[in-house]
This record gives sequence, C-alpha cells and structure tokens, in this order.
Amino acid sequence: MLSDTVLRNTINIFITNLQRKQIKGAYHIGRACADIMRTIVSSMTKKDTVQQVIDQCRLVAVMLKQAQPTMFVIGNVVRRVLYIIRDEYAQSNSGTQQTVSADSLHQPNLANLLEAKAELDYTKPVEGDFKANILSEIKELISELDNMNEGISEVAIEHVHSNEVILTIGQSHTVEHFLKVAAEKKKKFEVVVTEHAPSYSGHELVKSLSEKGISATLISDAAAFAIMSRVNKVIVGTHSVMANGGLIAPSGTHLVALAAKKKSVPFVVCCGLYKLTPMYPLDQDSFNDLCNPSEVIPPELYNLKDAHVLNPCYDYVPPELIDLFIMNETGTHNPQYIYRVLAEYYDTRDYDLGVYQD
Amino acid sequence: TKGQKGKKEGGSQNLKDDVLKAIVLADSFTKEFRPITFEKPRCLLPLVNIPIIEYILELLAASGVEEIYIFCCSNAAVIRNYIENSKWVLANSGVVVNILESNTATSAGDALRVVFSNYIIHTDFVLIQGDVVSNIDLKPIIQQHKLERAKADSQLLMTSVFRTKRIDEREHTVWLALSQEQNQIVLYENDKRNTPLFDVALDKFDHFADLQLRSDLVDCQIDICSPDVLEIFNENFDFEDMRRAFLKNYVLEEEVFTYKVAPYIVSGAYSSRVSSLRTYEMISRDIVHRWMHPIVPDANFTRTTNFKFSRPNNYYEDKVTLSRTCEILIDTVIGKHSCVGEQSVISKCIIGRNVKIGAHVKMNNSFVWDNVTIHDGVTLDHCIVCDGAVIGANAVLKRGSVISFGVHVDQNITLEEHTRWTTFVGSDQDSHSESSNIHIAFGDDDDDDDDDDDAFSSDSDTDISTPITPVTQPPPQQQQDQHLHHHHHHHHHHEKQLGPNGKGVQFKIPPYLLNDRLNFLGVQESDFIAEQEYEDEEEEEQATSIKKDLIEREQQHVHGDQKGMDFKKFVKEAQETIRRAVLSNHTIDNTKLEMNSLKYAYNTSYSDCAKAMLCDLMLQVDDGRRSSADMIGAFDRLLRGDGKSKTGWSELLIHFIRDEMDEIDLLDSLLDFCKNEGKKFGPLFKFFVKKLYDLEILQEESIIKWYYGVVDGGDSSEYAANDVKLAQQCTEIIKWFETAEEESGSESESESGSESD
Repeated sequence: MLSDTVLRNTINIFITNLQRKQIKGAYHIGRACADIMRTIVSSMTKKDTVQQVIDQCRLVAVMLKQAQPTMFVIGNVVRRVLYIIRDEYAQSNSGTQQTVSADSLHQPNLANLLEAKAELDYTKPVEGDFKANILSEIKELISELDNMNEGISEVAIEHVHSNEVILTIGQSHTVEHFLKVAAEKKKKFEVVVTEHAPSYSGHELVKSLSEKGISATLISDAAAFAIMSRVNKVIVGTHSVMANGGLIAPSGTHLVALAAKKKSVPFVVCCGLYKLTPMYPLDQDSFNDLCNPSEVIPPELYNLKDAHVLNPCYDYVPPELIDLFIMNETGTHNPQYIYRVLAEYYDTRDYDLGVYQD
Repeated sequence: TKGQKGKKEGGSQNLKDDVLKAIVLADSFTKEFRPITFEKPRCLLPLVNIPIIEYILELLAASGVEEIYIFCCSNAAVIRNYIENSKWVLANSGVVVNILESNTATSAGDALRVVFSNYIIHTDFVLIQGDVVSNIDLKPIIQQHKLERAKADSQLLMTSVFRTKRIDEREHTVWLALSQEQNQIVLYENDKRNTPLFDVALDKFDHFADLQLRSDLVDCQIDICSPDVLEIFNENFDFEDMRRAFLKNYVLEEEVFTYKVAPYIVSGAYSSRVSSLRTYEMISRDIVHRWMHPIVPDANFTRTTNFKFSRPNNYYEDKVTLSRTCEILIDTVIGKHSCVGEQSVISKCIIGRNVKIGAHVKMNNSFVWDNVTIHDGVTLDHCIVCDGAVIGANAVLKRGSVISFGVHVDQNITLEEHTRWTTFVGSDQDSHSESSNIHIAFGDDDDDDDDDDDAFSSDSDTDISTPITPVTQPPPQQQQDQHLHHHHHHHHHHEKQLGPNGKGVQFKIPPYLLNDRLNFLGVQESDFIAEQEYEDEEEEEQATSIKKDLIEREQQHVHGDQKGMDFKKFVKEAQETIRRAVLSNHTIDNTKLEMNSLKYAYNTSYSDCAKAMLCDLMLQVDDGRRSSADMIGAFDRLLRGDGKSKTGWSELLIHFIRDEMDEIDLLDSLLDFCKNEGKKFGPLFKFFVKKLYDLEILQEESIIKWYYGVVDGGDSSEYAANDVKLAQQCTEIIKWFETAEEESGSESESESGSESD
C-alpha cells in the first residue's frame, strides 16, 4: 500500500502543503485526508490483512498530524475510517449483530471485565466484497463532509427566531450558511459580528450577510461584552470539540462565552461532526498554536526589539459555558452528551493514534 | 542522483520549458563570517539549527519553483555533498536541485554567463542570493511579472523585490526613484557614499508623470528575470553584478528606455540577508520570535528536526536532558541529545545537537552549534561557538567572542570582547575555502566592503593572524620561507592565550570589519545611538567602551608601516573627496558626511581630516597661472563662498576643528605645506594664517600659543630652522593681536564692536 509511489507522493505533497500552511481550513484538510484514506483502502490487495490496513491508516495519520499537530480533524477523519473498517470487519466476520461500538458504550464493570471477550482476529486476509463495502462507506463519509453545512442548517429554523439579535465571532462558513438558511425561511433577525482581529474575517461575513439582505452590524472584538445585553443568542463555529464537551475555538471565543454566561445568553456551537475529537484538553501548549506575529503588527513597524508579539490561534472554552451543539448527522446535543456521540462514531482503540517515530 | 546533475547534463533539461526555475548564487565572497567560513561555506552554517541554504530552497519550493540551480564556485563539493544527503533528492520533494559549478566564475555576471552557455533556462526565472532568509510568497510576484511580459511589445526585463525597511534596520537599504504609474524603476542607488545625493536628469520627468523618491526600502535581492537578462549578460562579458553593472549602469543609464525593470514592494512579509554576524543574530532572534511564519522552529520544515514549542517561548527537540535545577529562561532552542547541568541559567540561546553544558553555566544570547562541550561555571555572552569546540571550566567568553570549529578554550581563561578564535592555520587559507584572491561580490550592496577590500588587499596574506602581542608580531611582508617560524609563533602564543590545554589561535579581524560595527555580535541599538552622539556632540568620552576597545586593539594589530600606509591612503582619498566636492559644488552637509565616513573607515582623528582638507583647498587655489595676490583672493573665495550658489568651505573646516590642539595641529600642517611648496606658498604663509583667523577657523589664542611654541622652542624644539623662519612671518600678526588685546583690556566695550568689523 504505502509502497505505492503515487500514493506516497500524494501524502508527501499533502504534508508539505500542511507544513507550508498552503492548504487552509478544517474542511479542506479533512476532505483531503478522507481522499487519502480512500486511496489507501483501494490500494489494498487480497494478501493484505485488516490489521495491516489499520496500521497503514494510523501511520499516515501520525505523519499528517506531525505536520500540523493542532489540526485535529486529520485524526478525526482517520478515526472515522478506522471505525468503518472495524465495524465492517466485525459484521462480515462474526455474522452477529454485535458491533464494536457496543463494547465502547458499556461502562467497565466487574462482570464484563472478567468475562473473556473474544477479540476479533484482524490478522486474516480480507475476503469477498469487504473492500467494496468499506469504499462505499468512505464515499458516504466524504459526501457527509461535502453536505455538512446543509445537514447542520436543517435545524436552523428551530434555533433562529424572529426579531432575535444573534452575535457571532468572525467568519465561520458553517455559521454563515446556518444564518442564511434561517433568513431564507423568511425569518427576520439581526446579526452582530465581531471583526475577529487580527484576521478580520468578520468584515467578510458582514459583507456577505448584508448582500443577502440580512441586517448585520460589525463591532470590534472588545465591544462584545458591552453589546451582550442586547443579544438573544450567540452562535459560533469552532476549530474542534473535545471529549469533555469543551471547545478548541478561534481565540476570542472564550471571552464571548464568558460574556454570554454573565448575561445568561444561550451559547450555541455549530460544527460538523468531523470536528468531534476524542481527546481531553489537558495542557495548553499542545492544544494551541502561535500564528504569524506579522498579522498583529507588520514586521516593518515592529521596533520593540526584545519584546514578543504573540498571535495565538485558539482559545479553550470549558463545557460549562456552552449550552448547545448543533451538528450534522447526530443532531443537537448538550456538552454532557458528547462522550456518547464519541462512542457512536469512534472505536476506543483508535482514540490514541500513536506518536511519530523517526 | 538528481543532485549530481552538473553543467554537462544541464543541456538535456530544456525539454520542459514551462517549468519554473531558479538560480541561487551560493558564494558571496564576503568575509564577515571569518574565520568560520574558512572551514564551512556560509550557506551551510546553521541558522536556528538548520543550514541557511534550506531556508532559500524552502522559500523557492513554497513559491512553486520546480528546478533550482545552486551556483557555486569554490565550495561546490561540500554543497553538493550536503544536497545529496538532504530531502531534496527524494523523488517526492517536488523540486529538482542541481549544482552548477564553475571554477572560473568570479561574479554574478560570470554565473549568469555559465547558465546561458548551458542552455538551461529559456523562460522567466528567479534569481536569488545565497543568504536570503524570507517568507515572501513569490507566486503573485512571478505571476505579475509573467502577465506584464505577456503584453505586446513588453519591455519588462526584470521584476525586483523590495520591502519596506524596519525601523531598526541599517543594512541593505537602497534609494529608488520609481514611477508607480508605469511600474518602473527609474533610478537605483545602493552605494552609501553616493547617497543621499541623487541626480535626477530632467528628461526623466518628461518620461514619467509621477516620480517617487524612496529611501524606505530594502533590496531583498530576489529578482524575477526574463531570459533576455541572460543574453544581455552574455553580450556584455564585463558585467559583474546585477545591481551596479547591470541595473544601475546599463538598464537605467540608457537615454531611451529600451528596457524596463519593475519594482515589487512587499510589506508584511519577512525578508533579510545573513550578511554579517549582526544580521545572523537578528535573524535568529526573528525566527525564534516566529516572524518567519510558517517557517518556525516547531514547523520542522526540513523534516530532519522535531522541535516542539514550550512556554514561554522555547523549543526543544526530543531527548533533551535538562537538570532539575537549571533555568531555561526564554527564546531558547535546544537540539537533540543535548543536556544542561544543575543550576545553569540559559537565556535567548540557540543550542545545537549533542551539546554538553555543565553546571553553573551562564549563557545568554549565544549560539552553540553541534557537539560542543561547555564545562562547569562557564559564562557566555553574545558568542558563537562552532561545532566540536570545548570550553573549559570557569572560562569567561565576553560579548562577541567567536569560537570557530574545534577550538579548545582551557579552564579559567577569559576571552576579551569581540575576539575570534580558530584552529584553522596556514597562510594559504584564502585559497582553501574561500576564493578571495579572485575578489568580487555577488552581494551587490556590499559595495563598501568591496572598496575596503581593495584598500586592504595588501594584508590579505596576514588575515589570519598572529597573536596580538605587538612585540613579537612578525612583519606583514613575511614570506614563504619564514612561514615555519611564523607557525612556531602560533604555537607559542595560543598556549598563552587559550591556556596550556587550549587549541587554536586568535584570528586577526581585518580592519574593514573592525571599523564597521554592523559586523559584530551583541551590538545594541544604544551603541549606534552612542555613535551618533559621538559624532554630533563631539564628546569623545561618550564613545562606547566597545569602540575604544576596538580601536585600541586595532592599533595593536596594525603594524606601524601599515598604519602609515593607511594614513597616506586616507589623505589621498580625503583630497579626492574635497576636490570632487569643490568641483561639483556639493553642499557642506554632504561633504561633511563623506569626510566623516572616511574618518571612520581609516580611523583617523578630526584634526587629520581638517589638515587633509586644508592642504587640498590650498592646492586648488594654485592653478599654475595665478599671481600671489590672486591666490590669496581665490583662497578667500573658496572658503567664503558667495553666499548663494557657491559653497563656502570654511564651515567644513570649522566642523572638523574641535579644540585648541586641533588648531595648533592645523597650523603645523599649514607650515609644512608652505615649506614643501616653498616657492609659491612660502611667502604667503602669513596671509593664509590671517585669512584663517578672519574666517574664525583659527582663534587668536591658539595662534599666539602656536607661534611661541615654534619660535621659542629652544634647543629641544621639534621645529627646524626654516620652520621657525616661516613662522616668524607671523610676528606682525602676533604683535597686532597683542596690541589689540591691550587696547580692549584698557578701554571700554565700545571698542570691541569696532574690532569685529
């Protein structure tokens, strides 16, 4: 599989693009990652065992993650694919309807710990239309990614009410789509957008919304608290949803979440299912990334010598500040319910994909 | 094997013409990094633990370049070896890296002619210096260049990349006249001595409706060239560099604009050149501060490192061993398998792989490359320690020390500020690793250095040096047969200087490096400010200790004869400067600036400048036909000016005369001059003195003091008899002074008014 030079090249170019930040946006990265997974599976031969396929996928995931450690969607897409493979294999093998997820849902208790579980033997070569089944499921996964925003926006009408004032942070394509769908359904509402320095993506969103006839107001990031008392609902996108229901979200989100909490404004997160990450945000360093300081101040204006200019990408938002998640496929959930969704889509054995060894 | 394609195979590659290609000029022939560059070419020196060349290749590859030609002259084998073992030879690197080698090439011009004769390039290509470190995205620039070229009868020859200057930046600035409307460079100047004098011919205004003069730009030394550039270089075999010969003297000098060079001004992106130790230090700091994003240490873009970010702003690779009590403060990078001992404090350091740092070590702002051992209790401040060096216990390396490859510093040794140490010995070191015999720079804005190099070419054989003790220093003219003896001295002295177990000798820093503090590590902005004050406020005391030390050390270095020769050169240059200034009627300020730069270049005093200027002004008075009286009149006009268009030079002299001693010096040299030019100037001596007094260049008191010094010198007098005779011409003036003084002393102030008339 990985001996295939075309595939190796594709992976290598993808890694280089990730390192050079020439491929941007969680969706594009997740999508490219799914394509690579599909190529790996389709290059399987009759001699390969399932374990080999799983190992290959995990190896590639680790290589890709190395290029951009905070891009969690890479790991998530791979986990989804691994789950598909394991699930398919379990079904084709045992013939029983016991799926892998059944294991992971059960809290460990004395009974099932003592009970000798029959581990599936992954070392046998694959047979029959196993590969075709996996490929068709991966295809479904890809189309799920492609139609993610539509899936999320299905419930837009239920969450955006007439004459509401909605606040959002910068530009999230998911939120933008969500709001536009709500407006199409003849809802009249007003959107307040924080500009989201230093990327100023909020400017784009305001422009795009007002072109659609949605009344939009642009405010500076610092004004978020002041305007919160006028806001009925906060709807934001996120970079990733962690296993505890917290967020790794664009910096500035925590600030808005706190303001919303203070004023008891509902804080709603719209995101694709692929952003769900089975990891706990234990340390700040590995869950954040420092961006280019030139965005904060251009180098030619910088004359502070030894002073540092920091431009952190992300904020951690604890689950207690979040009221609702709106996702595709799985619907709307509370942060407390996230662990359940995790078990439904990932296999516990794939939570940890391993570390990079050179 | 892709990396091996030399020039022979180059011809076979022109099948794919649409491929974007780039030429990297790897050799620059500059000497700022000596003695380090004796043993390793500059482009392979580690910059935050990654060789400089990697940054250039990454910049080009990220911008969509698919074929890169690294052009080298002297270090081809080493560079080729490096490339062959790098990721660039892998099939999936997306880039083909070739080494182009020429032993005969001595300039960028030659390099381009070699490229032309190999038929490698037939489309637009990128030309870049081998020391550029940048994160500029060249894609839009290349695209704009191509769009412009695609227009019918486009005259676009080249697009040069510039960026806005940083406030603290002193290197590589250029002065440009450009037309935004026509997207064209009209004038280009990067020679500091010609700026800010900028001649803009009137016809330029006819051509261009909008002409901008800009001095806030830095030349990135990245050019997008059309293939015509190669042809032009091929036709004009004497062109040496891109900037001076080609751009300034060829393209922009033309009356009619046959060709056009477009500027592309980027802002918000990072671009710098590793041209000196100071820039090396600055760029390292900027990379650690993430200004090169996405090329940051933890991006590990070469895939040979695995740095991870750690708070507050440190980067560690795997397997770094830090003792429990050591303190790694900030902005520090530590490579694999390195360890730091108990109680050591490290701040703002870049540390390579396999570095052993003992206990109680204090390091700040230093660069420690691979496999270095630093024993307990060592102090490092703004140092570079190259591969394999050993620093003995309790040694102190003061600011700016450079420890080259494999040097051993024994315990308890203290190295003075800004000294450089090497194990590389041999008088033929120039030909070994840097072909400095053939001298020319690819780096075009190293103009000043070029000239300095010429000026100091006489001592190129003694660049490496001999220990500094002046008594035992062999004369610079030492020849081959004395070489062994010479060598013996090395041994003798390094024992003294680096301790009984030490290894290595001191590198004699060439004077042109010593005089320019931009070449030193750990030079603060405040030092520049101090220098400014020193110039402006004439307070010698304010010169920083660095400067004093350097000058002292330099004086120790420079052999007596050498110094005399330098001085002669200085006088010659100063006189030329003044002649030029008088002829083309420059302003006082500009001439002052030129003289100041000469003063620093040759490390002379203010009074030396004044003397040289006065002698030259007097020479100008004599055109061979004038009578004595006319000469005095001409001298007067020269000094006074006419208050309008003609400049009066007295102001310049006054600027360079600081105190009474200077005035006496000036009188001495005037005396010498008149004596030597006896026939014409001899009888006029007193008139000149009177004129200088009238113009307030000389004060009454100093003339009196000088006069009595000469006349009443007695037996021990340093003045010869004919000196005294000449000086006696002034007796009248002195008498007049004395009577005037008595009068003003005895009478009221009303008298002083008339005196000034």
